[in-house]
Amino acid sequence: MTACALNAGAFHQRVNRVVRSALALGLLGLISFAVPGSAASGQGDPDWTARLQRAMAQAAAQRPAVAIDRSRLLRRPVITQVKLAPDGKALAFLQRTAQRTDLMLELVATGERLLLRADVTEIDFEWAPDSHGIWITDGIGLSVFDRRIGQAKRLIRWNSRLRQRFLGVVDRAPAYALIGERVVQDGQWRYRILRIDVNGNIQLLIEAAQPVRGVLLDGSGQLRFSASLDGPQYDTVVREHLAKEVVERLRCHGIEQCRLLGFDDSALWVLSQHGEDQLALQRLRVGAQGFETVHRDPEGIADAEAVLWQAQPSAWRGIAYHSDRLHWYGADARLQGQLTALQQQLPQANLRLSSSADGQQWLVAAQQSDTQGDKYFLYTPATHGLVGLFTDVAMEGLLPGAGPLAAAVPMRYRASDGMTLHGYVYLPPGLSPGRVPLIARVHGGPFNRDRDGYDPLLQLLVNRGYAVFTPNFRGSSGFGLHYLRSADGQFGQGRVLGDILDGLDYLLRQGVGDPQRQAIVGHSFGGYASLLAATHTQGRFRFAMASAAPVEFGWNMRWIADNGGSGLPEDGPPAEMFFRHLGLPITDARWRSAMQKDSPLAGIDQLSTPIYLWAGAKDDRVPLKTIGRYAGEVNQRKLPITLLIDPESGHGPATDLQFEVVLYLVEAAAHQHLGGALRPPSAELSRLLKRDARLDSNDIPGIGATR
Amino acid sequence: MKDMLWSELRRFHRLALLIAGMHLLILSFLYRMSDLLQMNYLDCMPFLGAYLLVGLALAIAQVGSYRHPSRWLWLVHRPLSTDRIFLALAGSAMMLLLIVVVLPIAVVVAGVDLFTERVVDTRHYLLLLHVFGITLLAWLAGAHAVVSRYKAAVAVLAAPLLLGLHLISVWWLLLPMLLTIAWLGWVSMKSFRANRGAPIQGSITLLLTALPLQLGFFLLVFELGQFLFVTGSILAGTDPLNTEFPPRNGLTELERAEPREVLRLGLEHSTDRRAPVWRDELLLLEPVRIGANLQRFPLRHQLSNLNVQTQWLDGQRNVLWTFSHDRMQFLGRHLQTGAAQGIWGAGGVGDDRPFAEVPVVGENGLLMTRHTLYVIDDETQTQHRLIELPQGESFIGMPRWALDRLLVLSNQRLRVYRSDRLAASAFSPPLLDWSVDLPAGPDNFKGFALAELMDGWLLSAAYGDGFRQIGLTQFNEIKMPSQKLIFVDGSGRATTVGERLIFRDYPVLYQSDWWFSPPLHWLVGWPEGTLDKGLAWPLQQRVLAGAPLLYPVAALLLLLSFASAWWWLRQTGASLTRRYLWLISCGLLGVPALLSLICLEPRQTYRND
Repeated sequence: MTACALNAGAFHQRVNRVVRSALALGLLGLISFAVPGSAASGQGDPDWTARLQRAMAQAAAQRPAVAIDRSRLLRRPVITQVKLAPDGKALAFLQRTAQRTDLMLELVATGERLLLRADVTEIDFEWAPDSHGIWITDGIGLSVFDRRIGQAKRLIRWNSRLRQRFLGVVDRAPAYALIGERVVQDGQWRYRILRIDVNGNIQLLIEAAQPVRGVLLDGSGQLRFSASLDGPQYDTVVREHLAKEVVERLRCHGIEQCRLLGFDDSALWVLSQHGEDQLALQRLRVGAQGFETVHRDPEGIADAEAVLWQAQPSAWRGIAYHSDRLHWYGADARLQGQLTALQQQLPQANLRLSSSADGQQWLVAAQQSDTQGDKYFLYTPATHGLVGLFTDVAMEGLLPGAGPLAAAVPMRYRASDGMTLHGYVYLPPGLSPGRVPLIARVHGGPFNRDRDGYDPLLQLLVNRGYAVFTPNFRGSSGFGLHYLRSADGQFGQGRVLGDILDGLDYLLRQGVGDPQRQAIVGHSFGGYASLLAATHTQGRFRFAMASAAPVEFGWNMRWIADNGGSGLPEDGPPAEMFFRHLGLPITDARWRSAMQKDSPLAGIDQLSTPIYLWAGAKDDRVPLKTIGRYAGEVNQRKLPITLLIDPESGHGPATDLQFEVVLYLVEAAAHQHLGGALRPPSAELSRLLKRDARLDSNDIPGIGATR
Repeated sequence: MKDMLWSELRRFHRLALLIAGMHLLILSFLYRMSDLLQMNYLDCMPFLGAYLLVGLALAIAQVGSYRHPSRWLWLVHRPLSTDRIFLALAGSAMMLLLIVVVLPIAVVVAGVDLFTERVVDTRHYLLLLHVFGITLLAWLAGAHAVVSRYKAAVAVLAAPLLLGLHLISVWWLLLPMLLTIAWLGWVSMKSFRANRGAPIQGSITLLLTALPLQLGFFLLVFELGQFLFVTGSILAGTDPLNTEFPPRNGLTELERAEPREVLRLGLEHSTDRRAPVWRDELLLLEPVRIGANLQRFPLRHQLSNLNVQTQWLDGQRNVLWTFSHDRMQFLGRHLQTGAAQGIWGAGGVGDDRPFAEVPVVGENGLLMTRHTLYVIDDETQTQHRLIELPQGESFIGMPRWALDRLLVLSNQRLRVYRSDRLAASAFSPPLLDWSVDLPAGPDNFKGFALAELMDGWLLSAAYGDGFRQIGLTQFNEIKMPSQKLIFVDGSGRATTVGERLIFRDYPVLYQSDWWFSPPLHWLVGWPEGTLDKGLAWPLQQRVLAGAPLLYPVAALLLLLSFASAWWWLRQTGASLTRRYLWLISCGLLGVPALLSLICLEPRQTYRND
């Protein structure tokens, strides 16, 4: 499963294709709150409580942060998408300048930089396994850059009707790349994977009635393994393609993940949830009857999120799980030592790793919640040598770590029903944690999760003096199937809302946040959860801010199922089945009725909290008409409401400036109700605010009242 | 007669050849700039006007040169009957018009047909006959006016044009064209007489002369009155179309309003309990409009193209597909090489099956006939049927994609389709989401504005007053405009949630010419209602007007006309039968008949007698 319905990912997607990421379950999100102190909720693990207390003490001891301008928080890194050549001698990357982005190449030995392609958009690229070329895909088609002649050649123009797309290169067969497409035969879709060589010759590898998720080819470019959806339940099936027959090797049922990693003479490697709760590394030995789990999260918490894979010989070298942060584990003691040494050199960072083909060099991308942009390094595992890359430009204009930005403090707490939950809290430096306002920022999805990466909205709020809680309530992805399914469809006044409120209660009990000054914000499902919390916890929150938020979750899911769009994975099971797998019985009238009864729309009469809404007119996940209906009803009751509609945006702001509108809305709401600082809008932002404002009985500064 | 014909030809042959040459040059130049044979009728109007002027100018120059009494006596006092003198003049004029007007067009059409791959159909050759007919009508009207007592007699041209010039099949058009030429020919011939001031002799000739004149007066006088009224209104600053803000609660306000405002205006008069919330919601939504803007469909062998697309460009292959009325298929032509690129039949490229009707090319690859909507697949060069309307329904607006739906307006209902998301083909027929009947039928229907609410749809259906500012009205029944607000719930059930009457903005006397002469009003509309003009909904001929205010006005005018005719005829020496004829005519037809009486029954002559 890939794309999903009400995901906040549109805000700031960070896609790292270097690592073989394990899971991308981005789905809907909902949030809700309980009355403070209403139950014995929010118990914490003693160790984690102690960690929180230490973090609180450290934050209080820091110097107060100076106010950072919103636009500065939105600055993008100069260098992105860095990829190490398989021979370890060169790097390909995107370099952003004031007006454009270029595809560049840097020779590791000399530091010499070459321009490969100027002014690129919608681009992705991968090194050919022999390092002689770079496969480049953009909105137009697929081309290959031949380093030996220094020239790029376009091989194919995408046929949008066939939804053709680049799937990647073939480690074992350097001459080929893979293309996916969908064709119509006899009125039915057929899904294909094709291989293309550097001369543009295309050959069909596999065609199936249901989507093919991945393939592995041998050295001659012949199909060896495939992973496809199969059967009425859309199981993921791994098959081995032998000379005379195709043999099913593994079947992952329904929502269970099965991802091909690679193979060698002795085994096939996959990331799978077959027989496991969390996504784990599994192996099928030659001659063996079944898969065996080789590595799972030693903490028993998180799905595998990344694998460090070496091409020659084909072997895994490390695996990472993101529980509180990204933890790497080596394939053996030597590798474990090398990884430990690396992590010790970058102790605060989450590390994204990729290896040269021979494993002699690793490219390291280091991410931190308190650092804008990734830092890049080349690591020589044998010597533990770490060399910084792009030191001249990488952090240009960005806010560095250990500076004015706040670090994420991971937390674990027990919900009122005893389940252990995960989340993060961000504490403003130099302020007493117990005296600052507390804001819950709920992630979208809900089948998504918060990580401890850089997030401009969180950093803005913390910088303005608020403590921010980001809960990974049950239903969040990345913590295994049980965690994902345990919401059990309770996205109204049920468990998910309870989890969020329990987390807030826990923090309040630990001395984080002023109980009298709480607020809740979120995007997409997080926005819905914010409205839900405002509706059902009268008086607890000073305000609720919701962007692109459904106002009736069950109705919205049904709408997505009926209308498709980006809320559903492109090639997946039918919508009803897809949602049922995730615990959303959208065809169940009782569930729909319960969702309707609990919805913010149905509960407007209970509402007393000031509401702030943002919506994109082109949103194909949360139709504007629903937000219009909600805002109209709220306005009719003379309740305070602000609504901004961005005519150019979809489910998320389309540009940085439009994102700044959302930031301003949150900042202004917090300023009005919690008393934090508010930096005035620039002239450009002010123009946009006035354009987008449709309702503003909250009288936000800089918008101009409209009623 | 023959000598006279040749002498008349010799008088004008140099000038004729010069103008013919210039005409050919102009046409050749314009041919390089556009496809003259595929122009729509609006673009053809300047040509039509020019040819009419040529006919009129020739009549004035040729016949007018004999208008002086001494020259007239010299002309008619020959050893020839006046009919033969007229025929000699008319014969020479026909030959001159053939040279000046028809020959250059024929050269261009034949050249395009012989030397290019552009589409040339039989209708284009028959068009030559009709162009000739039109210029001849102008000459006849001009000749008649020149020899008549009043130059206003040129108004007789209005009737033949009204009855003989229609966008119908060139084959069917031959009949009214020949009839009107014969009619006007007879009238003009009989106006050639020694005493031009004397009354027209013979009741039949009088009727044939009077009727076109009456029709002409009916149209011209009313149009002149409208023009003066509008000009006066503009000067006074009260014309609804020329004020900065149209009158409140008027039709102009509704027509100018954006869809959101249209719905808001409707909600102002709604007593539904949900109306206040809808009003607030509207501020946040982007309603759309679909109008009944497709008034007619093209016909086979039509005189000229309608103002709709009947060709499209395949930009990828550089092929222009133009519809051939002879083959009932599109013919392809490569724009770069000019080479023929084959046919596009009912199934796409290479399909030899003809279309059943002439299709209209819409946006986004849509192709439609009266009942069927297709979509073109550029890649495979095929077409797929998207929608087939049920028996009795036809499109009255171009379907459009909006609000993630395909909106289709037929003469019975608005149909709203959604894409079949699960279908493998991108060209699979859409699924009907819901439909709603036109609340009061298609007559005077202007269109819907619609907004998608969370729990359904809010629609405004607007009805006009049957009045069109430019051109003849499609509806000859003047009505009060109105607006109806409809809510369609999630299950597709429609309920009326508000309605209101709208002010006309203009006085009804300005909007309808019924009161000026009810029978002539009916006669003017008769060809519109009788001929197959491809109208999206045929004109309903009604004898009585929809506005009761018009009845006393019409009755008063008829009475006044009758009385004036009686007064006028007292001073003439007309026979009793002739008097009765005029009195009945004025009593029935009103002011236009009175004006024709004044033109055709001179009082002075009889007084002198």
